[in-house]
Amino acid sequence: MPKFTGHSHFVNVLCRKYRELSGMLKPATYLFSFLLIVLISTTNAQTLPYLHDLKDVVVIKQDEGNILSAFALAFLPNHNVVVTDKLDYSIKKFNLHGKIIQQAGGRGVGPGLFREPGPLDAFSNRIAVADLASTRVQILDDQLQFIRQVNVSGVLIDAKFDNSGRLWIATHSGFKGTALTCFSTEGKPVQQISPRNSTGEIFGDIFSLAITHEDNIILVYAIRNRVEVWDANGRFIREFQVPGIPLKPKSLTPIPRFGKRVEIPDGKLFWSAASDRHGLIYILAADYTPLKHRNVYVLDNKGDLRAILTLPQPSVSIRIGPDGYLYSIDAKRTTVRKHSIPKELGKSK
Amino acid sequence: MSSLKSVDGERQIATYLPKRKTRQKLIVTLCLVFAGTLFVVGLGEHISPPKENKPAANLNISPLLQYLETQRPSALAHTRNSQLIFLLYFPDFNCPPCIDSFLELADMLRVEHPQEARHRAIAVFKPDEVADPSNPIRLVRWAQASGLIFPVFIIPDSIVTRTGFVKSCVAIIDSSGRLLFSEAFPMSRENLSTAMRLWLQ
Repeated sequence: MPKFTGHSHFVNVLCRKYRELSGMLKPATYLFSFLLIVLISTTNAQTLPYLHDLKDVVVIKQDEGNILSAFALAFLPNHNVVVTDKLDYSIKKFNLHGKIIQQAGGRGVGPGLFREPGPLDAFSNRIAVADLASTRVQILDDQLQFIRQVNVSGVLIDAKFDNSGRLWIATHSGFKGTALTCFSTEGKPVQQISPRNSTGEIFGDIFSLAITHEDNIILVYAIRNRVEVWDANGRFIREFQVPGIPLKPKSLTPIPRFGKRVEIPDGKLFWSAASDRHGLIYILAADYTPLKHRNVYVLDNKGDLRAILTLPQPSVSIRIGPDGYLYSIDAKRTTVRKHSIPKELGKSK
Repeated sequence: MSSLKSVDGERQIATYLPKRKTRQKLIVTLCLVFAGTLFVVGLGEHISPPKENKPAANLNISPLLQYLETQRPSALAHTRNSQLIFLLYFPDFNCPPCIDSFLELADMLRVEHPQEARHRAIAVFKPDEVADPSNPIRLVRWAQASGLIFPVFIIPDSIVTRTGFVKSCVAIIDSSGRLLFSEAFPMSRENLSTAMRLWLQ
């Protein structure tokens, strides 16, 4: 504050008025500064993703060889966890505490037997198990008993139930236009989607499927940074990229295969996708993220990045349980882990 | 052409070449031959003659036999018959036709020749996450679930290197340890029959 002494009356009055005015403005200045800080911090919160390290809550471990090679997991209405065990040709049921309570299957091609049990999902008291080495998806009841099977053409990629109990099955034909077919609860095809980014490449068309609580069908490509969003009536909604991940992996030397040059990707971008009850999409990144096989990118269905979660262990598959926890299969495929998700994620932006 | 010197050069050349219709026929024939050649070459890209045997390249079986004899003499040393050895690496089984081909042969051994399979067949694994020498439970449980009736071993990396084993394959050796046959998975039907014939003789 400038100080004036021994000057004219006019100057003294001016100084007094200035002091009065500055005294009145002081609270306003503080208020303005406070508002500015709040505004800046809010803006930063919107542009920077929320980072969070997840911790294990429950671990379903490889006790006495319980899980030889878990491929996928799903949840029954009573919150029991079912897991496909590829090396054991079986499906296994675990309780909330990670104790095995039932298993079924065996190697074979008959009802209830598997050649390579892979993608898995559950709805109400029905479980769908896709056999990677054949063209059939078996429907089992919650006691793991065979009900019926759905046969498809092409190589099975993924299978998920929507909120009406219809089963969406993704297959790879080897040609452009990899199909995503919806089967009614009676097992009849009722809807088909031709993914927009399908090229017919052997590796390029593989994607992971997630279905949100609003019945949005989410396709996350394994070696292409592309996420497609469709509605349950087969209408395309939008597509976007996951921020911070390259468009595609580096390519190794192309090899001749089936009369054409096939590009072998050096690793993959994404392992799997999941969705929670708030409609957020969780994508487990693979080789092209700072913490390989541990970073889970959380986006809303418009593609805005909401958070990056970090799993305690490298993992190959994730699901969000009906209890709101995030479940993962570790990279060795012998352990299923349960992690609590920060509550902030569920709040609207 | 240079010998046809004349004032009316064009006419001379025209009479030298075949008549117009014949020329057209010649052009059509040449086009057909060219198209045919292209077709045959193109087809060759997709169709190749049946492959007799794609041996597992540069397989040197002796270090493996020496190692196995020290580990389990009764499995290989005391027989006058040929032996069947599976050299396996789990990551190769991410290829469904490869695992199918292996299991098909393993099933054939179990169903058709169980006695011989128990004594004259063996599977050796290159170490990895599943075939873990310090904790072989996953491998043992997988072998049980797959219905394998022959012994299963995990061999040290040093033996794998000395054997020159690159991709999962099957090898048939005679009683003196000579390599009779080797084939990487997936095997063709013909080579599967050949392997069985050589093993059973």
